[in-house]
Amino acid sequence: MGKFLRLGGVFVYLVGSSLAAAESDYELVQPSASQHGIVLRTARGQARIEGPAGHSSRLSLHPDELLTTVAETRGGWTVAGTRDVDLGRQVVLLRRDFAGTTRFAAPVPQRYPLRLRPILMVRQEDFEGLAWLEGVDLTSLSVRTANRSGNDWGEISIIAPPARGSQTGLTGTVLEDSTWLLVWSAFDGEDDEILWSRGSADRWQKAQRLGHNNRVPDITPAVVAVDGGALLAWSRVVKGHYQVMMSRFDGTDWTPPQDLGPPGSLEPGFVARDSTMLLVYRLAWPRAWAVADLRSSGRVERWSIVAEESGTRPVVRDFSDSSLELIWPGRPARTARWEMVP
Amino acid sequence: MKLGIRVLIGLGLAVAAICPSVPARAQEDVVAFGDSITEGPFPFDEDDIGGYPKRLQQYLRDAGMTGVVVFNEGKSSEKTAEGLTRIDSVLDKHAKRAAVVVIMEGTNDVSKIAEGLLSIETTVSNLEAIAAKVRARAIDPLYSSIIPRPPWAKRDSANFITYDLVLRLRDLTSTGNRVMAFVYEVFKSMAPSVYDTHYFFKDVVGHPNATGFQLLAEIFGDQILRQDHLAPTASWFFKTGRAGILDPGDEIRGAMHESGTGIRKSDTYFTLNGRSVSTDVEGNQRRVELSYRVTNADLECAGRITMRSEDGAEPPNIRNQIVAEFSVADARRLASDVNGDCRVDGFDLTLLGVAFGARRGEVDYSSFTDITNDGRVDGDDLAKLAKNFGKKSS
Repeated sequence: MGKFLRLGGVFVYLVGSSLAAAESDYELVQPSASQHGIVLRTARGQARIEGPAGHSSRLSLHPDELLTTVAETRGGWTVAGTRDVDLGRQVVLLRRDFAGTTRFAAPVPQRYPLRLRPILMVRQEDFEGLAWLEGVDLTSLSVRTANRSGNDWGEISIIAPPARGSQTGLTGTVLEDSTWLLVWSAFDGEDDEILWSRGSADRWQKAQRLGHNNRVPDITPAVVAVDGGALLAWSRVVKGHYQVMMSRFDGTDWTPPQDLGPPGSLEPGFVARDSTMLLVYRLAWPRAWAVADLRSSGRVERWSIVAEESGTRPVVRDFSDSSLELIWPGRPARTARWEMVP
Repeated sequence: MKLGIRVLIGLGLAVAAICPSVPARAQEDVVAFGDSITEGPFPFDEDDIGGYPKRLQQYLRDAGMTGVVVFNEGKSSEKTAEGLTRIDSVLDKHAKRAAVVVIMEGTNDVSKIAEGLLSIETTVSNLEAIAAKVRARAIDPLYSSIIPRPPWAKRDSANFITYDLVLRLRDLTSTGNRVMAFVYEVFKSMAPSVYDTHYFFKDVVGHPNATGFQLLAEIFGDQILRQDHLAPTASWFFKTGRAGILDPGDEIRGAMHESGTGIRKSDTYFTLNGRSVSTDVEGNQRRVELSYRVTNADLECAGRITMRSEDGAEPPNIRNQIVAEFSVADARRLASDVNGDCRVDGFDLTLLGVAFGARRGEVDYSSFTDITNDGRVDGDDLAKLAKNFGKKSS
């Protein structure tokens, strides 16, 4: 792969360059729940794990591999992603623990050529298993899980078979009672709806739609466990704009969806650290990123908006009582102030 | 003629029967809405003159619309979900003078679809919602397919997702008062050389270069000017029965789409081994489905199937596209039978003459004319054809 360099105001293209990816080619991925503040810096074929003190460890990847998610696990971290292979994609997994950094195999058998969107299921730094999408193609994906016990995988469970169209945006979290909560978006023949299921090992509830069939797209869910349940955020079209919605799972059911972001808000993602729960989302126009500081009830306590052209999700760190720091790949960190919600 | 009137003629549309009378309006400008392929920044646009919108403006002015302005409302890296919000401010800015909004977006969605983050259905829904907002301001949306991804693209380099999106947009715009510019189809018809000539050299996303932007401008310009240079496009084909072998009783089906003057159903049919067959053709002027059940009489040495169609232009644009080549049980086809009609005659010689000198990878090259299968069409192929001239396949 070649690279652009800007030399004296002139763009130069280096054909077949073996240079490392430019900083702006990377994406930064934070664990949805973090005690240590690690960050995965990832691009195709290249990745680094960065710690809060500035130390970083480079991961050895195949050129066709792309890591997409990271979790803090006992003794280090676990990362997951995919590798393109002939006519399909496989899940790749790496971990660092007290024994060092190792690759480990994904659950077998892989029945269909396409596996993607691996979700690490972690509870109190224990890696409990994996959820993922698998199918013949992108419009025939099923939702699957496998538990991890020691160094072994349990049986693969099919949580949702292929739907009438695409099933996308899989996300999940481990609840206080050790059950897993999975949430995703599925096309029902008319538009995308949010579906969810809760279970453990081979005992799973039937996948259910969140709320009523509203005939507008509900997409890109994000979920995180909180005391007594979980918080879910996603984007729904409301009056001609995507808008970030919020609902709370109380262990049995969901509260009615409430709009959290303004019109044009989308792509929500949680960042939980210590006792703080943040929701980061994009503002479509004017272009910006917003951060909402949430209580476990889902109520917004304070928020911050930073004008930013880049559609790449920022890392949020060093949040204090009055300010927070946002970092985009290849850019200096930016400090923003919190605005209290009256 | 004022662009407003011409556009309304053109968009009202390339198929007059759909919208036979549209009231004239005072608006005359064009808004180009989309992502970086619309924005067309340097270095992709080597001439640094503003991507396709500036070129479209010049194309329309050269065609006589001297006062037309094409506004560049491309925004780099935008996805359709973001465009759904931004379109409001664009329309606020241009609603008084705009007659047409060209909507070419979705390329950035494809990468997210490939990662399992977004559904292709949502992208289509977003594009339709953007168009609905345009329509609500009494402005004509001009839908557009996106350009194919080059072989070096990081994601979807084989265009599986991109083509699926294009097909869904073709279907969407085959109904109601919707018009689509067949950008993907034009670029793809020039593949693989188009990636060398019309794309910025190996940028990992797949942006056009200056030549590519000029082609985009001409495609949109022709659509606005109602200049139909495009034949109906074959969208998909399948058959029942055994894989790879054509048997009596197999059903063959296909779909064709058209962006301009409309498909003439009476001139739309399958051919088997070069002969037209009595094909059922259903649909409207924008989209037809063809079906036919294969008989014993159709099967000779091979089962080469083409989809042939004409549109309503004068003279008509004609598509005669090979969509499949099957074996026939217990039959043998002569390698020199270039056109697949089971005999080696002057037609085959003519086709070989057209391809003569071409090498594998070049536009004129065809594996059918490369009889010796050595990667070039040359005297060896001609000699082989001459040896078999006059023969019929068994």
